[in-house]
Amino acid sequence: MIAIEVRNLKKKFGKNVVHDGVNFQVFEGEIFVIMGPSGVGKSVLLKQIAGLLEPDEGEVSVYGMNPFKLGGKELQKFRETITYVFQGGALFDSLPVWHNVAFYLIENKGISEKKAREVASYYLSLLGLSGTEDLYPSELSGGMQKRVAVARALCMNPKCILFDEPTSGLDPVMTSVFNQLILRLKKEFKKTCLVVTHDVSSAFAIGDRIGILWKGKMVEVGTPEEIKNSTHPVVVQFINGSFEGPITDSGVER
Amino acid sequence: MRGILESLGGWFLISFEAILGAFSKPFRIKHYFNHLADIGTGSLPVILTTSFFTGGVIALETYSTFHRFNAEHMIGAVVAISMARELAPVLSALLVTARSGSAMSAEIGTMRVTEQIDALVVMAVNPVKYLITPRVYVTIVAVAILTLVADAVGYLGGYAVSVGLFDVNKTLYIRYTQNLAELSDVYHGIIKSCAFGFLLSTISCYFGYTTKGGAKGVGRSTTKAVVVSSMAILISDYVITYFLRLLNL
Repeated sequence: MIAIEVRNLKKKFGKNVVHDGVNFQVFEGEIFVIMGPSGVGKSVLLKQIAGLLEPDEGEVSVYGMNPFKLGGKELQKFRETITYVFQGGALFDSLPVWHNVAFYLIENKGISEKKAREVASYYLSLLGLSGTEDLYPSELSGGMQKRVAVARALCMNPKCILFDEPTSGLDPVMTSVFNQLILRLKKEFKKTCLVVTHDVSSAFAIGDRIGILWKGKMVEVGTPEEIKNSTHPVVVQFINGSFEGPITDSGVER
Repeated sequence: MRGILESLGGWFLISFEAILGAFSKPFRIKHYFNHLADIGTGSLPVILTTSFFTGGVIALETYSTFHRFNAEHMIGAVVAISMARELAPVLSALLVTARSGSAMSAEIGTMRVTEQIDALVVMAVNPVKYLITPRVYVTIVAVAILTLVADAVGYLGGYAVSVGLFDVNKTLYIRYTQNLAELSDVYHGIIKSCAFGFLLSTISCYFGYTTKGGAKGVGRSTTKAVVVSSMAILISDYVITYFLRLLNL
């Protein structure tokens, strides 16, 4: 079953064309990784899928729902179906950790703070963050903040989770921990994950399929094995991290 | 010119959404009280100090002229009317702009550049209703209450200077105030203060909400919020006074 479908997506900012007809599908229960050099619009793509940024042309569909054609309860259902783990966590810095995690339950579902705190503690314990409930985001390390953001996403019990650069700024051990966490979300929680990253080793470690975004289009989509064996010059240069090739020749702002 | 029109349109739409936000569930009453404590109570010491000295300086400046005509007893009425109709609402609004308007813009702007506002949207929480609606209503109420406080404290400042420093007869000072100042002067000031509260809160929140470009962008939004709010207060002061005069208020 198709969970996320992107059809002929086009987006530009001023004269800068970011997406020029992006097409791909993400199937239910898989981890789909989008890779590409910095500045090709990976985060912009995620924001369009999440309904935070409207495409100029084309269509985004999450379980058949296009966020830009929805309103009221249907939009609420869309928000409950897909959530977003932001690159920096985007935690509310004026609220303690437990309130960040339980925010959706308190503000949207009207659950009492006492009960919401219990739920938050449960999700925090699942992610190895027990005892951090009363700390503020500024008192946590970068890796812990990202895990709190995942706990917040889980609290909404969505079908799909979008990850924007989940391992950026993390040390190799924490990167590995985070990769395992995303694999757990798929296996234990049956979540569909769409991960944007430029960390090649993470992509190969977690991805069921990988898409390479380049110059506004998805130039290659395949399993990690197919991507490793690809002969597309952009894919070859990107996964090998070569100094010379079409990426460096193109003068993309990096 | 196009940029100004776009900003005006954006401000109007956000203000409209913020005002309507109070009439749909969830009401989040607790948020209103939290903001009232911050904007209202937090601004009180500044308002008390400035309005006391403002009332005092009016008495100080007018005494010599009034004394020439043996009319120094009328200083109380001058202080009361000028505080109630003009100085208390304008001063309160400008001080709340400097203290709370800048804070609103910086706080919402920081939330924008750190994607916290996007996180609200993702969690199906309307950011305008959550962040701006309580601030707008609370600022309107807070500026109106602070104006009333400034009226009273400003009058006390005038009394302290006139009676304490220049030995003006205190009974005549109060009697002339009662004879010349009217309750409509206070209403006039309250109407203005509500308009100023609306303007400063919506303008400050608008600039915060539309912040772009990291820490520098937050700084730019905060500066714009204070400058534009102050200008809006002073320009609208004239316009509102003009129309209230037409209504004999």
